[in-house]
Order: sequence, then C-alpha cells, then structure tokens
Amino acid sequence: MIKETAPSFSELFEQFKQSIRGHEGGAIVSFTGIVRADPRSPGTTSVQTTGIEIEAIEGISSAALQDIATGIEQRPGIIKVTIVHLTGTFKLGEPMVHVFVCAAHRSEAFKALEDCVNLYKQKTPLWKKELYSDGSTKWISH
Amino acid sequence: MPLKMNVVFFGEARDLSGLKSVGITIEKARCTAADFFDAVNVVTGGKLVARVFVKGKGAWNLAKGYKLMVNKCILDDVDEARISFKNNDEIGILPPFSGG
Repeated sequence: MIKETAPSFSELFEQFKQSIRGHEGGAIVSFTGIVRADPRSPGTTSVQTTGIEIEAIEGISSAALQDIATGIEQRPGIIKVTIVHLTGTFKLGEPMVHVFVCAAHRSEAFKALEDCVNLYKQKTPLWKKELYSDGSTKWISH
Repeated sequence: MPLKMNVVFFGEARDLSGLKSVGITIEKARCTAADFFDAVNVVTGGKLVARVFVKGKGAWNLAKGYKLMVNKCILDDVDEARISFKNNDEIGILPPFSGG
C-alpha cells in the first residue's frame, strides 16, 4: 500500500503480526528503507543529500505493490507479505518503505523479503528525487 | 477526424517539460507511437530530447527504462507495429521506476 504518513515501525509490525491467521508462521522478517546521506557526485563530499522526495501514482502504485505481495504469498511456506511505501518528502534517516514477510521458516522468509524489495523497485511506479545541500536535486534511477 | 489526447508527465519528465499535463491533437485518423512522440516533442519544445526521447531508426522512441501508461494501464514496451492511440486517450510518460 501507498501512504502519505505511516504509523511507527513498531505499530506496523504489531498490525502485521495481528493480521496473520493461524500459527504456521515461524519467522517474521522485515526491511525498512531509510534516507541515506550520499554525495551528489561519487568521490566528492562538498554537496550531500539532505532529503528525498517520493512520488507515486494514486491507485496504480498501490495496486502494483499489492500484486507483488500477493504473488510472493503464493510461494510454498510464505504466509503473509505486506509492503508499505510512503510518499512525500523525507529527511536523512527517515523511513520511506517497510516490507514484512511471515513464513514457516527463516530461509524462505529472507529470500521472499529480498525478492519483494527487488520487485517493488523494478515493477512499481515510484520515483525518488534526491535533494542536496546546495539546493539542487536529481531524479534517481536504479 | 483529428485525435485529441491528454499527456500526463511524471517525475523527471514533468520537471524537464515543466508541465503536469498537456493536450495534444493529431491530425490523422490513426495515431502511432511515432506520431505521438513527434507531437509531444513539439508541445514540449524539444525539452525531453535525449533524457526521455531518443532517435532510433529515424523515428523517436522512449529512452531506456521509460514506459507509457495508456488509460491507467502501463505498457511494458512500446511496440510501434501494435500501438495505436485513440481519441480521448490519457497517456502517461513514466520515467524508470525507483522506489525507496
């Protein structure tokens, strides 16, 4: 799902845990993407990232995230997947995205988590613009 | 009968064009991808050339990673032989995806 504001990680984790039906789950793993300080140009330090803007398409981006989560949930041993991606402007260290995976065993949970992250970066219409200390900006593509 | 379409720009494409959206008119009964790219290039004054549109085999095409979204449906690739836009289509220009 796409949100402009999200509860804290611990609240999201509790919501995720409460949403799991049954007791087949043996592992919950999560990923949180946060804003990192990067130089505008590799090898330099004078102009640093001060924040990030995230843009999505209303309805479309959320549906794409849900498709990814639903697809991963079809795998053997995977019980539940939730992807929460935020939009708006974020400062250094602030979270932009949370992914939770519950699986029967940790190995399949970690694999599913990594695939989730790779898939949402490739398949979801989301755009990230870095904001720099000198006032300049740059759209980032992976 | 001319075809009227609405073009919506996202992310980098919006910043480069300086436009959120713009209407275009194609004076043809059928609008191919090449016709569409030509028309968008005209209304944006060539500001999207190189970053969004590149020349390939004589016609404009999308730069690597860019996609079109036609009436809320994202196209994985722009197949010139199969694409034909219709009157009142809304066409989004989507830069390469880059989630957080």
